[in-house]
Amino acid sequence: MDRKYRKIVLLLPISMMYLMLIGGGFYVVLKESLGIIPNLGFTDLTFTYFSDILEQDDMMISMMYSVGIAAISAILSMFIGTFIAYRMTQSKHGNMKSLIQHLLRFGMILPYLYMVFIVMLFFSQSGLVSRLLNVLGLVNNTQSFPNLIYGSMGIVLVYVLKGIPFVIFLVINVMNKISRDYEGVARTLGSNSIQILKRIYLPLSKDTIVWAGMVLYAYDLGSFEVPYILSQIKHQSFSVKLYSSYLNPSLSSVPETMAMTIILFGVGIVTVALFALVTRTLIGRTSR
Amino acid sequence: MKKIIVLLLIVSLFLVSCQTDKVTSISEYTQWSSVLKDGEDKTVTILMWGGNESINQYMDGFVSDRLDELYGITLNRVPMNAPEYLAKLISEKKSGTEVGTADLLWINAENFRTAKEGLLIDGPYTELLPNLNTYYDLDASDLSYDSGVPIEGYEGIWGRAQLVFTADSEAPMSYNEFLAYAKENPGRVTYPRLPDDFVGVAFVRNAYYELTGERDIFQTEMTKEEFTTLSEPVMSYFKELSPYLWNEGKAYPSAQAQLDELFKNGEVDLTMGFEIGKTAGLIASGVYEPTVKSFVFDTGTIGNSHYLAVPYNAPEKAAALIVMDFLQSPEAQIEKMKSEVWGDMPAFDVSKVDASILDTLKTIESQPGTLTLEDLTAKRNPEMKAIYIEWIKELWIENIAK
Repeated sequence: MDRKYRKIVLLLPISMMYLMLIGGGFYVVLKESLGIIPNLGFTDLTFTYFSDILEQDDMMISMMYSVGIAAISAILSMFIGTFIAYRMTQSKHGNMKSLIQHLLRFGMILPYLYMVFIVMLFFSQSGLVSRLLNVLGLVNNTQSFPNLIYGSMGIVLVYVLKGIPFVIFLVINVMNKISRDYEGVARTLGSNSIQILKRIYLPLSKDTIVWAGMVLYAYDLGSFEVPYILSQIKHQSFSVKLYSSYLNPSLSSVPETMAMTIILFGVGIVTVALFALVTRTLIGRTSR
Repeated sequence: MKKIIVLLLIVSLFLVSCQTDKVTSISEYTQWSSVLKDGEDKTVTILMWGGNESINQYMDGFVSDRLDELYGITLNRVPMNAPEYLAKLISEKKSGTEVGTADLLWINAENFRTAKEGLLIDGPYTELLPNLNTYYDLDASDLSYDSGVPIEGYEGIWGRAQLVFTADSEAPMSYNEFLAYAKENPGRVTYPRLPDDFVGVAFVRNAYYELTGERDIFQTEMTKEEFTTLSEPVMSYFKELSPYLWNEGKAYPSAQAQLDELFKNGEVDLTMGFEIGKTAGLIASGVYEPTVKSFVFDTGTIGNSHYLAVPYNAPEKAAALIVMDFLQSPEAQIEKMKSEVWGDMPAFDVSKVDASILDTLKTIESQPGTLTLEDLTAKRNPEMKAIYIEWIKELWIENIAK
C-alpha cells in the first residue's frame, strides 16, 4: 500500500504537467473550435465550423490521403525494420554490426527536414543520381530523369527512411534478449531461418513491433513539413491544409482551423487504435 | 519530493507574475522628446522575413551599429514570416497576454489588414516621427493607404519594392510570352505555390493587369461575384500554363527560397522576387553567372510598399518608434538602396532630401546592370485592395489545386 502511494506521489508532478499542458491546450482548442473566442469577438457556441469542414469533399479526401500515406509508411518501416533487426541478431560479424548500429543511431537523430534534403540531394532531377547517370550517358540530360520525389512516393520514401532505424532500434533490443535455446531447438528440428523468424522471433517481439509502428503512424499522420515540401498540389495531406489554414491571415479562419485540429486529433486516436489492431492480427497470422 | 513541489509552485507563481504589468499605449505619447527619453538604451526585437541574406546583413550590420551609436539601442532581429507572427499575436491576444516579446513587425497588405482589424498592432503614431514628417511626401497614396486599407497612423512606411524576374537565357517579357516560353521549354519555368508564399501570390495577381486589361478597377469596390467574373481569363491562363511548368505543374516550389534554389541548380530558367538588387549582389558574390540579369515584364510588374508596425503588446514601444524613425531616415534609406546592400527603393521624397543624398542616389543608379527608379516606375503596376489578394488565393486553390 505504502509503495503504491509513493509511486503515485512521485509520478504526480510530471502527470500534472502533462495534464495541464496537453489537457489545457486541448480544452482551449476545443473551445475555439466551437466558436468561443471572446477576445476576437466570437461568442456563440456552434458546431458549424465542424460541419463546414466535414461537408467539404476535398478535406475528407485529404484526410484519407494522409491516413493512407501514414499507414503505408509505417507498415513498410515495420516490415523492413523488423527484417533487418532479425538479420542483425543472426549476424556474426561483430564490427559490421556495430558500424550499422552507429549509422542507425545517426539516422534516428536526423530531423525529418534533413532527410527531405538528403533525398532531394540524391533523387531530384538535378540531384546526384541524375547527374551520375548523365555522366555515364544513361540519360540524355537531367531533364529526362524521372520525377521521383515530388509526390506520394517521395513522402513515403522519407518517412520509411526515418522509420526503419526507429523500428530496428526498438526491436533489436527485444530480439537480442530472446534466449538462443529456442533457436537451437528449432534448428535441430529442421527449421530454416525464415521459419525461426516467423515462429520464434516475431511472436516474442510482436508487442514492440506494433508499438513502434503505432508511434510512426501517429507521427506520419500529423507531420506537416515533409508533405509541405514534397506534396503535389492536387494531393495534399490534411496537415498541410491545416497549416495553410493556420497561416491564413483572416481572423475568421481561426475557429475553422481549430475545428480541423480537433478532427485530426479524433481521427488520429481512432485510426491509431485500428492500426494497432490490424497490424497485431497480421503479425499473429504470419507467425502461426 | 517536497522540494520539487515547492520549486514547481515557485515556477508557476513566477509565470503568473510575468503577466501582470501592462505596457503603456503608444497613443499616450504626444512629444518626440518623451519617446526619446523612454526609448534610449533599450533592446528592440524585430520580427521579419529572413529569407534574404543581404537584408539580414543590413539589419545586423549597418542598422544595428548605427542604432547603438545614436541611441544605445540594441537591435534583436528574429526571422519569422508574417503569417507566423500574426498567428503568434493572435494566440497572445486570445490568451490576453499584455506584455509580448516583439516590438516591431515588417508588414504590409493583407497581413496589415488582419493586424489592424484584429487590434494586433498599436497606434496611431506617424505624426510623431520626425524623419517621416520632414523628408516624405505625406500626400503620396501609399502613405494613406496600404493595399486599399487606410493606414490611419498604424504603420510607418519603410520602402518600396517591385516584382522583378531573374534569368540567364532569352527571357519572356510578358505573361503571354511566358506561356509561349513554357510551351517551347516544358518544365523549365514555375512559380511559388499559393496560398502561403508572398511572391507566388504577387506573380498571380500581377497577371490580372495584362490579362484583363484593367488597371484602376483593382482599387475600387467589387463584389466577390464581380471579381470572380473578372478573374476568368486569368484563371484559364494559369490552367493552360500549369502542365508546361516544372514537374508538369503537379508540384510547385513551396516557397520563393525553393524557387531560387531550383534556379541555382539549373532546374528552371527563371526566378522572381521583390528584392531589386538581389541578383546584382549574387552575381558579385559569384553565386550567379555574370550573364544573369534582372528585369521586369514590358507589361509591368506589381509595385508594393512595405511598412513597419508595433504589436499591441510590445514591451518597448518608445524604443520601437526610435528604430522605425531611424529606418526611415535618408541615411538608412539610401544605404538600403545600394545594390550590394539590399537594393530596395527608398520611400522618401527626392525633392525634400539633401544634395548629398541625391548625389549618392545618382551614383547608385548609374551602376551597370541596376534597374533604375525611372525604368521601374515606368513599368510599375499599382497594388490591389487587400481583400482581392485573399480572393485570388481562394480562386487559385479552386481552379489550379483541385
